[in-house]
Amino acid sequence: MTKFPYIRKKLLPLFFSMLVGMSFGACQPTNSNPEPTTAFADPTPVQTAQISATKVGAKTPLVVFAAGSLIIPFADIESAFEAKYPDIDVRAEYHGSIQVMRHVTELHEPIDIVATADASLVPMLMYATNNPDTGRPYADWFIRFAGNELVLAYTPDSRYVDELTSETWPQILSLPDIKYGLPDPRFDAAGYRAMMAFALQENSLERYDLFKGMYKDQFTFPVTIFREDGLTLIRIPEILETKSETHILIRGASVFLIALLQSGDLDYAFEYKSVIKQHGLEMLELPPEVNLSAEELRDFYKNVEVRLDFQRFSTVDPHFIAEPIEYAVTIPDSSPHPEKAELFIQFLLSDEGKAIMQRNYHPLLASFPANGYVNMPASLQAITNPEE
Amino acid sequence: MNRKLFIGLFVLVFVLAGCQPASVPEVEAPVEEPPVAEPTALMEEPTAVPEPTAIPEPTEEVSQEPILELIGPDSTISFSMADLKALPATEGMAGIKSSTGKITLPNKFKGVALQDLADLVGGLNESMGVNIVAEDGYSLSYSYDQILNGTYIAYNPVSGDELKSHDALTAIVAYEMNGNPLNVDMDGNLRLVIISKDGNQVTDGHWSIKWVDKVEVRPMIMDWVLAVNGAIDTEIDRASFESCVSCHEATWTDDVGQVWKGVELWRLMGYADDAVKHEGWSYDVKLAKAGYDVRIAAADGFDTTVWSDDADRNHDWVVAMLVDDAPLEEKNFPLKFVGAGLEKKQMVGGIALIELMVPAFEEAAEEEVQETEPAVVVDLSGSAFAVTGMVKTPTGFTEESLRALDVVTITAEHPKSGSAEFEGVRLSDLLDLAGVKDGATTLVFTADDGFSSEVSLAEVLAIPDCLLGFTETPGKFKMVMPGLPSNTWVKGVVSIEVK
Repeated sequence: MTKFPYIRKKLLPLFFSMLVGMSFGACQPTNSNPEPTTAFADPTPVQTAQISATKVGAKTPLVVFAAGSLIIPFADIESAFEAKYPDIDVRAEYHGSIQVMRHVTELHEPIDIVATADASLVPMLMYATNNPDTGRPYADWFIRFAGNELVLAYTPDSRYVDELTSETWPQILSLPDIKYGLPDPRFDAAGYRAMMAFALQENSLERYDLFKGMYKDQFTFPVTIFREDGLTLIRIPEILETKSETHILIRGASVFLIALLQSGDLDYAFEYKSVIKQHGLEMLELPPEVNLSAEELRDFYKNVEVRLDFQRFSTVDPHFIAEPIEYAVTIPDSSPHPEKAELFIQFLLSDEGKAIMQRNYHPLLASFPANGYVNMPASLQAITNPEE
Repeated sequence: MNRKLFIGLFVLVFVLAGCQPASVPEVEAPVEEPPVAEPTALMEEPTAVPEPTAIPEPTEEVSQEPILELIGPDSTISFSMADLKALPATEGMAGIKSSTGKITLPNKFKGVALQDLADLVGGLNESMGVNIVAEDGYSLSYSYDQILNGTYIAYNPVSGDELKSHDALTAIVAYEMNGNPLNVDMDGNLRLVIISKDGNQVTDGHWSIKWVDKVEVRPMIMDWVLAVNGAIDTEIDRASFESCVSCHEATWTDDVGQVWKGVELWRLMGYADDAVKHEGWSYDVKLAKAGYDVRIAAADGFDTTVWSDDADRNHDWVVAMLVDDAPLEEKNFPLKFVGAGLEKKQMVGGIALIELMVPAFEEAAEEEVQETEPAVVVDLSGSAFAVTGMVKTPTGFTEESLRALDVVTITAEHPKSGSAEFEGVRLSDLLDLAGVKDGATTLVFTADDGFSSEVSLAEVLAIPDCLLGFTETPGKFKMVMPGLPSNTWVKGVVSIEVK
């Protein structure tokens, strides 16, 4: 496309944005985050892009829809991949993981690669929905390629930071004079995972007052926790808004909380470890029972479920069971360029891809278990192994 | 891209950046911006989503096809585009900030305010919301506060920073963008947008919905009805049940410390155990003691049956509508039978019916009985206190028989003497036992010195802490009437006549 592909794609818009910004409101203070990042769930049909699947000049467009927490590492993957395959033009869009799949299964957009922050969504949504053009499921395999870890982000100026430990955090977050940021669990996986953190801590300690201490009486319609037969159910109401006197700030996406942390408007927020490291913020690492990173605790995690008390998507039953955070990648049945998509996944999982992800604090798994291994292209079977 | 131009731009930006933050979010231009005003590189940004240029349509050919269904609590209205355009229009500027920080600068939209639509089907109150549904099934709900007060987060459209304060924001169902009809292929006929007067702010992208075809104005709290069938069939709706709980709250705490709150089963039996259903105050103790099956059934048919005598004034068997002060979850909603001594399989959730296996009431026979039945004469001579008048069973009590009931200790404020602790039996329990008849409105308290005082039955029922209080002298009682005048706090009370 150009001899400065990265500069052209990534920096020019930034420069022009700054020019536009200065012409509209020169010198006004801002605390926007340096780069747009983590944003899982998201938006709306307004964001729906009609992306052409046709070739752009001599290049083949390869459309990648990925989870918001992959923005920063995938930008580097994209650049390196395009440098290696100059005939391919990667076009990446980032949304919440559910929204990513909805673009395939409900909006039927020509998407070549789907990368989600929640592997369980692939069978839930793509296996279960057929491509009307072929009569086959939108996907019948996926590769688990990375994990992540829930952490509690803060700044050196956060209140009570000197008293913050992996035991005291629930009590500190519930103090009325701290500002706690909550990604909206209706839109952002980080939001329902933040809710899960309290329930997991309760189950770990067998102390059942932490969730209520944090969330009871904070919302106009209640967020509730209920236990029965060893299972913990957290319910999110259709309308989630805080009461006026609350110390909880809800934002639509976790990326917005990073900006508020940096500006001092927030004291604490749950985020993903990779994202916090990418932004250079402080973080409290949580016990494995809470941080959703330990495969060996899968059975412990799964007793916590978050359910949305409404149907947001026609094809999604909105309930989320706690489990280790796993990122997955697949090629939709409707991909216009499946062979090029295979190249992208091969590159992502290659030593070069591993190095790029590692450099961006989002390391890949040591090996890549594949669900639906027998259905995968041979080139990807060669670099993965059937999951147990 | 010309290399010199690029270098020139870089230098210019570098100079100007001295008073700017290190970066700003991606910004999209509104469609009315001339294309030349935006750099081509920006337009090529993969994540950028240009607003499509609207396709003008001749205004004289406004479609009469239904494009929007407005559903209210009691009515549904279907609108064509012409119908919508005939409503008062609201105009303003709307732009969005996506969850990844990308900004679409404000465009001018015209449409009908959500509040105006809600008003067409009865309006909104604080317990209601508006659910917007798109053609593909996507939906999202907006709160009363958002619709009436515009309580959205707003951002500076240039820097992307959250604004500490912002201009008024209004949700509209838009049918025009920048003076033209929406692009049907891209936006659908209608689009939900959040507008403000000027284009100096944007809102979260998730509040902006394309392809809108349905607006539902509805309560956010789901209503339900409990059927209680027996001698008569009756129904208790959510509001009535809540009212019952506020007067006769009963709780049970499970093994993980969750507090279930509702009404004791026996009080609900009183609604249908005979023909007297008067606000549930007609519980037939004798019938319950004689024994009958009480079947508690879920909407899906799952049920359990208990014996009426076991339920009789059993304070540990609760039909709960709240757990930890929150409505029950989907599996148990709206009511669950819980309590001490019950097996798990007896704790039926999702209750829709309580069925009392008693003979059906035959109205004609009852009328005949009423015509010929002599007044009930009960010898109360051995009692220290009696409930008489319009009750099914005039009942006398001694200190001992009262203390065998559910004795409570409360702190109550006497209008003159101030706060003190009182021990006694709830008046509502005594009235339950006696069985207040239909049409009763007043209680007359009479003291041993002949003093008497009247109070409204409804007022007493609204105050769960009204007691027949014990005194230091066995066999002597006093009324404890928190919230009511001092003349109702009758000392030495010997009877309550229900009138």
